[in-house]
Amino acid sequence: MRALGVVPPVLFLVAWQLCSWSPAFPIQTFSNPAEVVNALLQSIWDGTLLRATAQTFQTTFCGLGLAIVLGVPFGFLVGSLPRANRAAVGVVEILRPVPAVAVIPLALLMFGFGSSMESAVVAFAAFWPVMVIARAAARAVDERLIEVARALEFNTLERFVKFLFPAALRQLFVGFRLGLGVALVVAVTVEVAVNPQGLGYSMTSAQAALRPDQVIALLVWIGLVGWTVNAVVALAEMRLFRWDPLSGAHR
Amino acid sequence: MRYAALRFIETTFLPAIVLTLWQFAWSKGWLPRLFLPAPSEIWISLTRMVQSGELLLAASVTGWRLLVGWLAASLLGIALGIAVGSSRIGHRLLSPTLEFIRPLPASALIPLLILAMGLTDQMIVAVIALGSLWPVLLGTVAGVRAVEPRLLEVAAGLEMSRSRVTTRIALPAALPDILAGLRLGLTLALVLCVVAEMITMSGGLGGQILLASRNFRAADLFAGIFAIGATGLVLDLCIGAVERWCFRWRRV
Repeated sequence: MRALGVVPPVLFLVAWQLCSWSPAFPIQTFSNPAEVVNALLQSIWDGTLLRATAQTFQTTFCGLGLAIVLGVPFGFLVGSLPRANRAAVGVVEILRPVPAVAVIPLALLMFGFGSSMESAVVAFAAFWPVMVIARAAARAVDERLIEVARALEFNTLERFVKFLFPAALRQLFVGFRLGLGVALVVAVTVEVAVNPQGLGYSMTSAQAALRPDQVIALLVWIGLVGWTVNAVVALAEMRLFRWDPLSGAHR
Repeated sequence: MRYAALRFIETTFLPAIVLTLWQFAWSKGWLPRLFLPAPSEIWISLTRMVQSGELLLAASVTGWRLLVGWLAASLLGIALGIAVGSSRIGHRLLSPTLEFIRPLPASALIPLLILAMGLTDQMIVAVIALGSLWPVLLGTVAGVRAVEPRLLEVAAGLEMSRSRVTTRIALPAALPDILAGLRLGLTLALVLCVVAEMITMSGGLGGQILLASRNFRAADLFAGIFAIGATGLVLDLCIGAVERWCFRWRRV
């Protein structure tokens, strides 16, 4: 029964290919499946696709790393100290509704074109999911653990590193996963919009060169890459957190 | 009352400190003036843009595109979502395809749509419509599929027609999920509208901030970013009000 899901895409591809043979079909805009596959193989073969993918990944992970380094401690701080939360909530509520793409021109003015500008926008976008989950994780930490930490007379930093972080790791990972999804989308968006590098720019330049086959091949590739990254992260999550340290049971 | 006042002071304390320090550091010349204007400059720029009507014009252009695209996406998403969600075959057929398309960045559609439609207003609306379709569609599918089976049994017992089941049972039951999808779609619509405007440079808030950045008008840039954030906030408040109106019976 699972095979049913394959039917619509296959039908679509066949119809597309058949239509493209008709003289009335706007092949200059929509190409056809055979040409798209050809363009995909060609760009894999000559290395341009993999180079662009590596560039996009590099900025995605730089930005996500920055978001984690800033977002986790900030989330822990406001999550475990109610007073810090009340002080920070004003700034957070001003900045959070700003869509990350609106920051693109500012990042452009600060860093010029290139990886640092893109990483900055990605970090701004991924900061919010990471921070929100870290805050929730810090609030949800088991009372017993906090009491143990207090009994052992740990200071705030030790409490963060030795108790909060391990206890919240499973939940934090959810934040990382959400952040990664956001980061990848924003990286491609920045490249499509302004930044001349990576997969997004490959698309814009293929569009400017009037090569719909390449544009669609890149679209398919971005879909495949995004899907693979999601699958790998989901698998890692399952492998890493099979054991629940608090209850001592397997989930 | 006193508690509320204390709360207010606590939350506005840090922003006030940040702004004061920012203004002070700027006046001492410690900040890079190329991209970091003083808060006072941003304020002047913002009031000028409001008074000249420039901001309102840009916001209305953006708002119009966004609403048309989002409404199209919402209608299509709800209709498709009911079709996919209420039939088992439809769900089996389409859900793998939907799952594959869902994580695709909607902005990656822009180059393809530019090829198909050129740098036009219709292209921007199409980007918004295609991009904000997914949350609404998937929300509706999830909501319709989660309808309490006993309700459907009752409907079958009453020999209700399919269209009646949809409007009287499936839609109301799926409403919370649909509204959540609509809300997410609206956020996405603003993002896509800003991106598309930056690429086509055809007015609107997105075009305005990129232009400000290219001309090194940092104060105008900050004012524009502020306006976009405010637009997002207003849209969110509006849909929040709709949500509360829909569920007003819940709070009794």
